[in-house]
Amino acid sequence: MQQTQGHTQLPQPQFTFEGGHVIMFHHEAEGLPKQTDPNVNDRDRMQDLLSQMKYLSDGYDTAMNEASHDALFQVWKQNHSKVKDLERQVYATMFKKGWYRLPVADAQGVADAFSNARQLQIQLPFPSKMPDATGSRAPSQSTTTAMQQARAQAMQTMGAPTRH
Amino acid sequence: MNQTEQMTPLTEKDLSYMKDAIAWELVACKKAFQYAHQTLEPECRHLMFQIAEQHQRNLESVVQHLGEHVQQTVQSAVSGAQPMVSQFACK
Repeated sequence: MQQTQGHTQLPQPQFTFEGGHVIMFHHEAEGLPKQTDPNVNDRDRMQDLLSQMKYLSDGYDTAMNEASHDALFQVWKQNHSKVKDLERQVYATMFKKGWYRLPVADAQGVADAFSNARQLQIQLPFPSKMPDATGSRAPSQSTTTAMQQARAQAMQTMGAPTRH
Repeated sequence: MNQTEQMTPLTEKDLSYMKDAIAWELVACKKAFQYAHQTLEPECRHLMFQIAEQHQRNLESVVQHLGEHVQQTVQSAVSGAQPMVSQFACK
């Protein structure tokens, strides 16, 4: 099992076509009973621990929002982060064993979402240096620098909002 | 005695969350540990032991923070000074 900064790398998936959707999976589910067997198995235990960690993670998230002082906030944040990392490992392990499969987003849907998003970017206040969809126009400076310049300009004009 | 801790007492909400976290982490730790013993598949087993360990560490970090706030109250009581708690009571 590969480890990178404590995370398990998700393995390269295979693809199949089921019920009108492209499905991504690792391989056929391993280690599950073939015949009627009501006993709790490995997958059940992993699923249970995962559910529990999701619940804990939500709890820590709420506690983080409401912590009265920073030291306690850091305790919650640290615990939350550790639980999230383990959740991810369980998720990756279960995927690797073929214990669940993921439907893939439709390619046309992705393209449409992107072009719609580009339209919405017109409404943003700061100048954008994102390259266009074909990537043919490389950004001449980072968006951060552009934001800093826009902010500096706005401050000079005594807070009057500038639009580009 | 940590001056910073005197300035930031635990609120009722903080305390409530800490009690919950300790209870949840204890169950999670014991469950993961038990499941690890029941699981024969080595990869899952190893991961479950790691999960149990992390839940224990999480629990202990909460208990430690709680302990830091306990010492402050105990100190005030022993010295005979006015209890710090009343100064921060919300009405």
